Amino acid sequence: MADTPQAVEVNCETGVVTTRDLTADEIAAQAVAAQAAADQKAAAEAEAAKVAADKAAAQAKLAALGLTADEIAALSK
Amino acid sequence: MANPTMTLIASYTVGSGGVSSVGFSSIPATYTDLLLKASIASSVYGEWTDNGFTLNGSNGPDITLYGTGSGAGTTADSGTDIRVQGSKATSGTFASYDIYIPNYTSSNPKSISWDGVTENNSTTALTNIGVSKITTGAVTSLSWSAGSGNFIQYTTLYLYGISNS
Repeated sequence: MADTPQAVEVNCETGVVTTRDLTADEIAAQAVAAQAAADQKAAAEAEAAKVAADKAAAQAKLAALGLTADEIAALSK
Repeated sequence: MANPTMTLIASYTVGSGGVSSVGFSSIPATYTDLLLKASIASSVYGEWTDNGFTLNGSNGPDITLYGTGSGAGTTADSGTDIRVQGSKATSGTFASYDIYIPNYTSSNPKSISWDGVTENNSTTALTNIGVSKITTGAVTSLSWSAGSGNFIQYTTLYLYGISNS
């Protein structure tokens, strides 16, 4: 891998392929975008984990009340 | 009588070492729509990663519907991000994508769509269908960026022009 990230551009009229180093601004923008994507993914995973935990807790409470596994499963169908 | 055609405008295959982004410039205005077909993977760690897509350097809000086989969901981003697989996926597997850009010579905002799958051999696959509205003029260039990493060697993109008459 090159030390500095590189961008490739294909000129559709001439067919000439140009390779250049990314500018500092482009590299900074990529870092911001990558962090935003990582934050969004982490938030989505945390939400999914919370929903799963809440579901398991609710099922446990229903079981403690005497509902069978089939009866608990029927509630979500 | 209409004679629709699909013409290869340009293509690019990433070489050894990878590249951070691939773009096509000076796109001729002689077609009705554009279609970008890609076999693509990123060096960024993850089973999948978001990869910024631009028209004329601009992006826009997007919505993606995805499914894994065991679940489904949606995501929304402020910028056009199209998921491809990252380095956590099985080595040698590539995402397969079609990105459609209708009426690209229009001055109106572009509603683009894409469908594709990120592949992780037999363990995980992620199917994606997405849309994005990008406000820009007639499209003369497009670019797809690997974010904080590189598109890896053998990533290949084909840009086609679609003529409806």
